Amino acid sequence: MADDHNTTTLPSPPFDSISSVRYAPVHPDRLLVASWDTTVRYYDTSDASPEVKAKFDHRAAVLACTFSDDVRGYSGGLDTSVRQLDLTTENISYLGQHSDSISCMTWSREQNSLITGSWDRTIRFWDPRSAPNQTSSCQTQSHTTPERIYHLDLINNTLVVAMASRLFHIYDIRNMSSPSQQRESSLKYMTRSLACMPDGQGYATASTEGRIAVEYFDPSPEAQEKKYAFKCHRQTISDVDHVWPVNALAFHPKYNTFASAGSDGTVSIWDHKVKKRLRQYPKLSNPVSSIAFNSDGSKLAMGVCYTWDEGESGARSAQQPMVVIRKLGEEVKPKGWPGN
Amino acid sequence: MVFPLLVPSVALTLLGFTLLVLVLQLEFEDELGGGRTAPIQQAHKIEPANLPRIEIVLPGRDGYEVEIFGMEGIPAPDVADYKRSEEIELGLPAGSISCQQAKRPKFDNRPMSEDELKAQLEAHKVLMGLNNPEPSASSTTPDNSSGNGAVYGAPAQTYAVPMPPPSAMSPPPPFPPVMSPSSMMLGQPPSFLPPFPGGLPPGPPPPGFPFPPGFPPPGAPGAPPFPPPLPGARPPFPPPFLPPGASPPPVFPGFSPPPPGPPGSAGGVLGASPPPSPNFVPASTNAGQQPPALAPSLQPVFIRSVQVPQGHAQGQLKPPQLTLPNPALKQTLPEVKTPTELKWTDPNFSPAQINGGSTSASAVTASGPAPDEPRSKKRARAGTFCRCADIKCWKTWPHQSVPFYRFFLIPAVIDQMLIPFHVPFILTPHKKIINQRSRLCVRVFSFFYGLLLELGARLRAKDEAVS
Repeated sequence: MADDHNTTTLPSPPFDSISSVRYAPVHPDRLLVASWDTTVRYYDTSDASPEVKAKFDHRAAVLACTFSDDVRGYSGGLDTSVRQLDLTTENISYLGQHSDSISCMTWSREQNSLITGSWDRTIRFWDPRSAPNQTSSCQTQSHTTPERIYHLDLINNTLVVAMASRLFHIYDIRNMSSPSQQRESSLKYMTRSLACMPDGQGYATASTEGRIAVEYFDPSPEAQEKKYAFKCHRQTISDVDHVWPVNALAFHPKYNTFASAGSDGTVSIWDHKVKKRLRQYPKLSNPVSSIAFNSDGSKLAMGVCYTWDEGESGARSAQQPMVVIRKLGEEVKPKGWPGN
Repeated sequence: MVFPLLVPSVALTLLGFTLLVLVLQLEFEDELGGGRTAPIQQAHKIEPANLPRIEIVLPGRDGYEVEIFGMEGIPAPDVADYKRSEEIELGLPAGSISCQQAKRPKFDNRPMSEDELKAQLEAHKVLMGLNNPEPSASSTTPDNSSGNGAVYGAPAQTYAVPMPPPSAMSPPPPFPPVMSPSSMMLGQPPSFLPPFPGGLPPGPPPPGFPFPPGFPPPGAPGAPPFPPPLPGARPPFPPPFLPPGASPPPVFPGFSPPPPGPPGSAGGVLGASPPPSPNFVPASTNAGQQPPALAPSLQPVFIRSVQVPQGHAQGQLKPPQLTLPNPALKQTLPEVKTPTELKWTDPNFSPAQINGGSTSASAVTASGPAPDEPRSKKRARAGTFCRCADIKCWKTWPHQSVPFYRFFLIPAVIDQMLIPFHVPFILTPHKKIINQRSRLCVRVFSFFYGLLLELGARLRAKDEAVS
């Protein structure tokens, strides 16, 4: 890697593919990493002493994790149950269950509830305070969707749900009875990643065919005219286009730029306002499965592991998974950003 | 003469003194109550009345109520917490320490009575999902007449639960297909699962069932051994417990047991055909010869041993082939104009779902601890066998004014065998060893630590050599 001094590899990485990395909402150095090795690891990513602070064992692969505040996390995965992870006492408490694997989750600060999406085609809301005992479920709402939910993201009160068969639903979480908008993806291939803009204007989504679309919530024709899509994470090798899936998108919390991570092992920073790529980071040894900016936007966590795009044959030649933290500089700022 | 007199008098005096001390102690205890009172009063010279709450102690321990003597008197929640933390530390499934499993029921080796045989047959049919009265089964079992369908004496290793015929699906098969333990060891999925387009998952192998389903699971409560022999017990055939594939032959009037074939041929029938055809049905389900209903005394036993796994398995029974929930929304890959190599070509399923869909058959519905979860679900990694390189620092002795630290080498798990190995030594907060004993301990500690690491490395090497 060219600028190795800007990256650190966290010690004791998961043994198997990393499904999700998430930074804490306030503390800039607290990271949750969910993995197929059935664990959620809780890292301190500070430069001085990066370390695993806690490890939570699950009964099956974990696909999703999120923070609610700096001391509580949540997890869900193939064992279909929603769990609360107390990051200080390392206690795991069971909140409830989906009827199929949980693919994604997010925390709503407005509603103080956890939102999970699952392959069982439901979105469910959980209030962890309602039932701290193990006997009853904390589920508060459940809403059916037409297809398996692959991704969801929330900004303020707007929940975007990306499903299989390229469907999108946009909900207002204060009124979940019906989606406020139903869309079909503007990309022709399966949706692989989704992220909402921190300014609440719209979202970016990407497909398995190296392409990112930027869309806006405002249904007016003027706003919809601004939406666009572009190609990325591709390479032409001897006249054949090699096209990798875009596994993850993440918006910078301050600058409204976003990062995209692909199975080609690269991470790029994009300014979607001026439709320019700001930076492409050096290629990593493995695909990048998940990325996250920390709360002050000074670091980017990357889960680097095999993403099963090439089945089992690829798994044999894949390298050990790792979690890489990159310190960010000026490259994530749009050109002409006011202030320093 | 004086001497022999002196002895009893001395003994009496001693006895009297002991009694006095005992009485005094009793009074002392009565006055002060138990627990922390004595050390507070004697060591710290504080009157408990002046110190209603003890300072700098673990939460919940600031009173005088808790009285721990040896291993007795520890508050139950603390014991539970401790056991849970042990489980987490050792990576054991939840409940393996905290919920001690019931002992495996004992079975006595004796001939079964007619009624027991019938009841067991009935239970077996329920288990196989073939208890519906439709005679469809008999037509699909060409082997019936030859008596080869169910093999008596087939070794349990070669047993595989047949897939029920599609026409008899009303109760779902209670277990995911069982594979032979040998393939389980290798982490291969059973060979009769259709292959997945995305290749096989990285996840753990599907659960093998370590004991044949006809048996009550070792941990299942309320599965008593067989009742005492009834009058009119049969001659010693068949043995009281068979693997369910080798179900007992139907009980006909005037039925005489066929001579058991040579073990080789018996094993060969099942062993030679690892993927049993879907219409493989135990020979004993001839609809015309349905045995009478279960003996009432046996019914609850069998029903329970059958239903427990069924309920447990409902969540894990996933179709091995991924199906689209809404076929109308099926996607196809659009045409491309330029030569393109797409890295992910399935338009309907993400790699996670393809991996997960096949592994989630083994992913249990984790609504609570399942103590009888087979251990083979844990992936066999060297790390599973030797997790010793963890040193924990615990702050102990909270009532001391200077905090002391005690280091433990946590118990190492070597080949699933617990080696309790605690080397306590004392360090000051500045991590400076303070006394000779501790220094010795450190030496012993590092010696054993090195040994353990060595052992771990050897195990790992062995592990790799095997794989």
